Amino acid sequence: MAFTPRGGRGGGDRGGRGGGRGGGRGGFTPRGGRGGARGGPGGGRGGGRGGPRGGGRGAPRGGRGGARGGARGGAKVIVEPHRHAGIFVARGKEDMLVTKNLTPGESVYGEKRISVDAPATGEDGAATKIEYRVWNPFRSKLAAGVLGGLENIYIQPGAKVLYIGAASGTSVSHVADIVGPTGNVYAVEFSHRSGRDLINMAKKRTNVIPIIEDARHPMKYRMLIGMVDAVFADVAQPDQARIVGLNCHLFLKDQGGVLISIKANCIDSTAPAAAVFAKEVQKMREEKIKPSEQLTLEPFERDHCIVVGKYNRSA
Amino acid sequence: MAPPTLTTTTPTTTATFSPTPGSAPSSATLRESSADLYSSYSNSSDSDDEDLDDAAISRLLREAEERMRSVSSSSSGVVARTGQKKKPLVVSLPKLDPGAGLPRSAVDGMGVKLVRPVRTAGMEIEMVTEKDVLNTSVEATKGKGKKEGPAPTAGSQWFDLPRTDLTNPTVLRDHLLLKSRNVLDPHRHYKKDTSALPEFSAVGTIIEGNTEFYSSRIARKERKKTIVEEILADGKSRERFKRKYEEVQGKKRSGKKADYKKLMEKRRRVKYAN
Repeated sequence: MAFTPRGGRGGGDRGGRGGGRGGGRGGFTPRGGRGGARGGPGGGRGGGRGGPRGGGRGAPRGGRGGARGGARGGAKVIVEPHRHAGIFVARGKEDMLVTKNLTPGESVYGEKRISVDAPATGEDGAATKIEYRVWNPFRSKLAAGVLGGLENIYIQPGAKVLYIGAASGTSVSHVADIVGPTGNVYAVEFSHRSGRDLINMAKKRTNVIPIIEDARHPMKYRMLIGMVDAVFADVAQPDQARIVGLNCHLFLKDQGGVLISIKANCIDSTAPAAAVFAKEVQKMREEKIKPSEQLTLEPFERDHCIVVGKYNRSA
Repeated sequence: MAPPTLTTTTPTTTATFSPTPGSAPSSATLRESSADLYSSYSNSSDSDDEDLDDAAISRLLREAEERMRSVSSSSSGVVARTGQKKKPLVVSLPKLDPGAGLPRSAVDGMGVKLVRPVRTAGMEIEMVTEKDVLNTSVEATKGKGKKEGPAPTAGSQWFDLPRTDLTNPTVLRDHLLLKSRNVLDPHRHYKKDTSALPEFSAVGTIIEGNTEFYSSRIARKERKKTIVEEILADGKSRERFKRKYEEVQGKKRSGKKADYKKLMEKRRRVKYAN
């Protein structure tokens, strides 16, 4: 399902986000179409689906049929390393971005998983289960940035990451997978409602430290966080640059990485997106962050961009 | 180990039983070191032993030490004793070092990785520095591999993803199929891929999400072991492959002997028909 806008999106809880792309078609869920098929004679499944290229019966995955077959449960894929450390690519009929699951056997938000057939043996000789989780770029801006070709994401195995705007922890769970058991993710989220999901996720992943606080006041949670290697911010607030700056000054090490996802509409809905981005980058410079890359998240998000910079404490 | 008990027991046991160096060198090593450590105590506590005076004990200890040294330097004495031609089993434990604590943590306070012990086939621990780990990217291993053989895994940066098993023909076939997957489906388009086969990889099976049991799952009976089998199990694509093959063959045969014969046959038939 991963990279085709239509595939599998209907079921997602953020289904409405896609705007024009697939939104209309995502209106009905895969379930809707299926009800009929079940009723049919001969067990529905085999007959109704027919060939792989969706027939007249609006195949649940969308007319293009892009996602059929390739990423269905039970299909085989080959997992290989991505250019960025800690990230993998699963290749089958289509490619998927995946991260190694810290908690094998569990999926966090209903995402697909990939279990590796021949389990490797651990140090004690016992067989350990190896599993990967599919990382959907339509749901995670960091994944969209990685697919877009960011040069350096500063998030790698063993890194300590401050994640501002963690929401329900879907992306955070993948960041936790990337940094692995030797790393740490400090996930800050203000909303109690989504913070609840975040905490439930963090219960299973010991390297995630959930913090339900306002990121505008980093002094309130300074006792929970040590020096971090990278800061990722997805806060979508007009004073976003200031929030990131405050947290960087307090927690980020010198020459640490900063990744900010900017949603133009949330900063200024009247100005053109490019102007908003330029203004935000200028604000970042004032906060001692030297921007190195700016990438639009275009096929995945509208009027979003992700800016990567380096924090220069002495500047 | 409490000092007083050791001081009373060690000298007597070494003196009276005098363990054969070949049989239990490990215990002797321990005793030797402990004797060194607590020799100052021995004078006061030796009043219990009537049969041995201080000088005799120290002499015996020195002799035992000499024996130990000679054995550890050359193991010929053991061979002579046991009369075996095989290499003797001499296990030498390291000396007790009070300064040695727990093994160094792989991560220091700042999150900077220092060292990582790697268990190799020979069961020795070799230290791998962070720089080495970073260098084990796909390109770097090629250069390094010439010296010390290819790395068995992709390293800690990719959580020890194993090396691609190209000796297994089914795995190799799957990899080759993925390389030419652009011909499988005319409606699906892929980015051009001219890279070599991945150095590190693993074969996995997709597990459907929580909500996808009916919508996106292959029934157990229809599951296959390899990607190649999955493709071949699909009747429509098989038909297409066959058609395409015939098209290519037809083109290739044009003008050759079989083609010419066919042509002549056709002409003859036309003539007779008229």
